This record gives sequence, structure tokens and C-alpha cells, in this order.
Amino acid sequence: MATREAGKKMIMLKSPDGMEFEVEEAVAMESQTIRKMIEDDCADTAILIPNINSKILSRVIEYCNKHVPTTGATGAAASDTVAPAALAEDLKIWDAEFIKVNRATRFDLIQAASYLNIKGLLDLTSQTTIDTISDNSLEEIRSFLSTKNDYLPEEEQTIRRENQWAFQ
Amino acid sequence: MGSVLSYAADAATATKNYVRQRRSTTADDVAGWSSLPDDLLFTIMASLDVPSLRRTGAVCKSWRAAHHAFRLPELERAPCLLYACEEYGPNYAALYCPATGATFRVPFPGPPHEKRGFAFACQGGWVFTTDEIGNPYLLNPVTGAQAVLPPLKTIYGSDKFYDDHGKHVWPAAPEYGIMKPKIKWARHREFLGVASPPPPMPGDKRWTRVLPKDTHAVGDILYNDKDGLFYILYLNGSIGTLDLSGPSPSLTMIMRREISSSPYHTMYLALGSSGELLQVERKWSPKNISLKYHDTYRDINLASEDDQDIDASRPLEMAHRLVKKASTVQLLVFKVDIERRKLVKLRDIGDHALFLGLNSAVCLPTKDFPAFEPNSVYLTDACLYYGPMLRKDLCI
Repeated sequence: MATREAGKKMIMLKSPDGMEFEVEEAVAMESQTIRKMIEDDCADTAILIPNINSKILSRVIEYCNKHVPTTGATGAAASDTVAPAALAEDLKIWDAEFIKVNRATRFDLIQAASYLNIKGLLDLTSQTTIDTISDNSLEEIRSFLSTKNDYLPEEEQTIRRENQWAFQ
Repeated sequence: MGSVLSYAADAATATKNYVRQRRSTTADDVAGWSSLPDDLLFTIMASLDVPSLRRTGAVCKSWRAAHHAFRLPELERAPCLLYACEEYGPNYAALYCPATGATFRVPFPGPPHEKRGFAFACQGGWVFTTDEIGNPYLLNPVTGAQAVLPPLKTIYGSDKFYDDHGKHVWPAAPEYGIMKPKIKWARHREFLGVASPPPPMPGDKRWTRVLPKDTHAVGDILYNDKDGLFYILYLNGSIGTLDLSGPSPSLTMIMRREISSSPYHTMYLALGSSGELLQVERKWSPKNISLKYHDTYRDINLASEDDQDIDASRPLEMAHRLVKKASTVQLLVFKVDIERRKLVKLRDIGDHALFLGLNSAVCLPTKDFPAFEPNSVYLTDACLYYGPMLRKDLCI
């Protein structure tokens, strides 16, 4: 997708809606699923990433680009002059911004992270969901996650009675 | 490209699941997060504390099904073991439910473990514990709810039990070698003879003494919700009842005995399944009395880190702090025959399991809890130098 330095091995990722993303191998290998494919030597052409649309895939690549542990290749973040602690702090802020997406995108991201097996992204998306559940009432959880309340009114009553203390 | 997918078998399987899940999402967009794959949902649920977990289970049917997989204990009935767990951080404790074998993270808000007093007693899910300066409060570890109790100061009229920061201390007593006030965590025992004014409710302003000062030292107290009476087991073996329902506390002695008390001998009261009063005697022997007298701030801190017990209520006796390890050598269960004023030794406790620890002793029918063995006594480790372990020590 972007210009690359010479000598870096590039990998082509394809989304099912036909978009192609050329990424550095190191970046693609942030995904353990893709890493396995590459290591098993079955990724000499393009890799189709099924059911992750180009919008989500580009975000995932954006994440991997930021988090790949390299020197210089990912741009400003990995400069030698930056202390590791400051770098980690910088990444945290970046992550916080990155995850400020709507719930549909987050839902897609968490699933993509799970399928592609990208631990950092999975942790990030899971933690955001955990925070949502921990900090909110049942109604807020339902509305925020857009989960459908499929209980009958009387079932709902029973569950609430059982768990009264959990709904404060 | 297709060959790529068929090549990596695990990836292909994952993909298939993924495709299936994605299809269901697109087919029913309203479902939204309800269609989150179970493995992801489990990952998330595993990090939640119990109240959040319960809320999660109420969100929708599919989440409820996943939530059932967590085997939340029937918290109202099953005994649980509460202990501090470093992994969970300072504001959480672990709650182990032996009936299901599951461990949960529960909120344990308040001062950090090392500054907290011991948990002393528990009844109906509420733990009696003390805060940083030794004042008691009630905590429901499952919900994180707390209830304020009157401060310790209202027990004594004197300031000598407090240091400059209001911390509860042993007063200096040069004649006994205590040269300066020492930190002292409020002891369970100090509360044994007092209650807040009747009806005893959290929120009262002060503690009121209900047992006369000259009564014999108290070993255990049990509240029987069937007759609304408190049963008091004195260290000399006598048993009395206390009725707090009237305008003034009324104390009745129902059985008199004169046995000599021993620090290696702990007595409990428990209620049998048909409401009969049981008295349990636990004799234990100290081992490795090699530790020096441990009464420094630091050592008590250490001890408090791995203590905490929901299953829990025995006085912290001096002997516990002297020995490195204690082992229970004998357990005797008696039925208290109130009519004939005597103890009847039981040969067995049938299909019941007894739980002894820092809690009010609990006797449960094992048919309701298949995880427990009948005719067994479960002990939490009474020695505070080790994390309490739930172990089946002795069968009677």
C-alpha cells in the first residue's frame, strides 16, 4: 500500500471485496495465522483473507504497522532516540485513539483479531469490551453493544430477581 | 489462493467457523454482539468480576448460555473460600467455590491487602473485616457492597488504645516489655461481647456491650435464624443464649460446664440440618515452634496478605501466631441436648459435611452438594502464615 524500502520482503494480502494490500512480511507476520502460512511456505502469491473486508483489513494492517517491532521501517515511532518506556506510552495513546471506533467496527476488529491471531489487537479489543461491560448497567451494555434483548418479559423478570445485586 | 486455505488445516477450520459466524451476523444484523463467537466471549468473561459476569449473562440468550459454562456458584448456599490473590491485583480477591471447583474474581475494594485487617467472621455472605486503622466494616465480597459499622473507639472509652494517627494499638506496657504502642489489628474477640443497640443494624453509631464484663471468655457465637437467638459458647464449655429481640438484651445459661480452655483447642457451634445445635471441638497440635515471637508490623503484614476467608470465624489466638504450622489432630462432634443439658457425642454426621474455619461453622447436607463427601469435615487452614487451603483433613 505504501512505498517500501528496498530489500524488504513484501506480502500481498487480498480482501474478499477485491482490494489488494502490499505489506512487509514482518508486518503481516504480526498475525500468527499469516505467519504460519508464510512459514509453511504457502504464501508465495497473494494471501486471501476471507471475510475481512477491505475497510477492516486496512485498519488491521494499520495496527500491525504500528506495532511491528522494527527499527525505522514503520516510520517515526521506532527511532533509536526514543526510550522504550516513552515508546510504550506512545503506543498506548495510539491504541486508545485507534480503538475509538463504532461498535460495528469494533465487533469486526475483535473477530478479525481472533481469526488472524494478533494478540495485541485481540487484547486491545477484548479489554475495551471488558471495560464496557464492567462500567455500565445492563441497559447500557445492551444498547452499546447493540445486542438484542431476546428474553420474554417474564424471563427478564426472573433473571433480574435472581441477580438483583448485580444490576445496581 | 484457494490452495492456501486448504493447505493450513487449522486455519481452514477457523475460517469455516468464521464464515459461519459472519453469515449469521449478516443474516441478522440486529443480533450484533450477541453473535460474538463463544471463544471470544469466554475470553472476555474470564476477565470479568462476578457482578459484571452476572450482568453479562443477562444480556441475551446466547450470552446466558455461555455464562452458564462458568458455573457460578449458588452463592447464597454453597460455602466459598475467599483469599487474596496477587495475580488479581490489590482491589480483587479470589473466591473459590469448592462445590463447583470454580474460582472467580471478586471485587475487594478498600485499602490494599497489606494495610487491611484480617477477615474474621462471616455470615450469610458478609465478611466482617477491619480497615486500615482497625475499624470494622462489613463487606460482601461477591457484590463489593460494604456496610459501615460503628468505629472501634466506641467500645472503649479510653484513648490509650490509639496512636497519634488514630490507629488501633496495643497500649504501651513497660512492665510487660512493650515499650511503645504497637499496631494492633482489631481482633474478632473484641467484638464477641458487644453488639450495636438492638436491633443490631449496620449504621448504628456505637457499639454497646451486651455481655456483662465479668462473663467467661467467649469461644464462639452462633446466630440461629430459626429461633432468633444467639448461642454463645464460652471457653469453659458452657453454653448460653442471648436474646436481642427485646428492649434489653437477655442472657440465659442453658448449659454449664467447667472445662479448662487451651489454646490448642478450638470449639465451634453449628446447626445441624434439622436445626439441632452441634458443638464441634477441634484439637490441634503446633509443629515447628521455631519461629520467634512475631508481632512486628511487618510480620503481621505478611500474614494478612495471604489470609482472608469467607469461610471463616475463629479468634486469632496467640498460639496461632507462634507456630509455623498447625495440624488438626482430633475432631469431635457433639449434639447439644438442651433438654437434658448434656453433650451427646456423635459417631458420625451421616450425609452431611461440616465446614470449619474463620466462618460461622456450616453444616451442609451432601445430597445437595455432590462435590462434598458425606461424613466429612472440611477445614480451612487456621494458621495464618499459610494461605488458607481448603483441604479435607479428617473424616470422623
